[in-house]
Amino acid sequence: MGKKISSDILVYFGGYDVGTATISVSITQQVDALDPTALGDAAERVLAGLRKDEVTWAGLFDDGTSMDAAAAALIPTGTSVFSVLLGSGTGSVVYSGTAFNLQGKAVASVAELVKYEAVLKPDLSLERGLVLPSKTTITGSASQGTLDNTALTTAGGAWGIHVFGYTGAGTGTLGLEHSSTGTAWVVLGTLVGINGPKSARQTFTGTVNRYTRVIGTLAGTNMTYATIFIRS
Amino acid sequence: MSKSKVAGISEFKCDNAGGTLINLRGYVDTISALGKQVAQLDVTTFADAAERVIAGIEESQEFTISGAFDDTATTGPDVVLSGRVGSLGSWEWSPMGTVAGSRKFSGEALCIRYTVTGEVKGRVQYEAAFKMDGSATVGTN
Repeated sequence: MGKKISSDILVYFGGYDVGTATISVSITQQVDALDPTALGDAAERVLAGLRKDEVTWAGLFDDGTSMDAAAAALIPTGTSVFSVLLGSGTGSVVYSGTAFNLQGKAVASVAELVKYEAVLKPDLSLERGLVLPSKTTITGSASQGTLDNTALTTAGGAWGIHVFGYTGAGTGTLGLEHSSTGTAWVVLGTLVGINGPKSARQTFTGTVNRYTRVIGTLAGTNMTYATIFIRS
Repeated sequence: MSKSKVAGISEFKCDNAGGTLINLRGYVDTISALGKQVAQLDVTTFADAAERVIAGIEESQEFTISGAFDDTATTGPDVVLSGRVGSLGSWEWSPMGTVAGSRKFSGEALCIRYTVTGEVKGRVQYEAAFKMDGSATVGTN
């Protein structure tokens, strides 16, 4: 916990890790400010309108990386889970949402590197959560990212999943588990049928116990993924 | 009373999502100009040799605070400000510190924006923007 530098930031877009091509990212949570001032008021008043969050993103254009493929796959109307991680450790802050690529532009000037700029518009609003495991590769069944929230919560939450790769036969499964003790675990949700890059978001209602973790199983050779969890 | 440097004494507080005033002085490095501002209404007539003006109602100022992103739990700027977007809350600004008698501006404001920005080779930064609701109070600590 504390202050961060640029190398602490990780950017995931659907099944793509675009952090290594990114040169800047800006996460904005904002609302319209509506004016309800009436004749009797001695000073201007203000009311919150609709949320209109946005993520702007710039990177180096490189057709040898996944960045262009990530953006191209989502133009014009496709949506995908988008996560900006402010740290790679379990428990780091992450801003995430289901976004579509509102705008994607390649930018070129003489004597400069070709760059790529994108504006991502989340459906509804961005959510602040915590990283379970950041990008990690497993070669067999394994639990990852055990996170202690210090107390349970009762308003449910959401689970964001980025799968970056799967190799080998069959399919893999990712499960989110919670626990009141850190030793006995109960499944909250699962994503099945993983056989390649993809992303997903699942929501939960009711009690989420103090501890959460992710458990991965696979029939193939390895699976690379990251997950985040947002308590409501 | 005398002039004062910013370092070590200026203090900005704002409500968190739960309505508790949080002191962010350890996380703010810039605050935009913030005080009291009224609308000016033009009452100039044919009879006047110069423009005339009267005070209107107090205007809703927008102000921003910014600094290094910090994810310190409970009282850090990320958890406090990200939870405030779209809600009204109290703020207090004490540019000369908080000793008894020192100037304090305060009021209610809507948090209209919270932005986290990261650029290669730089520190991660945040900026929060507020729009005031009603009058600012110019008082003392």
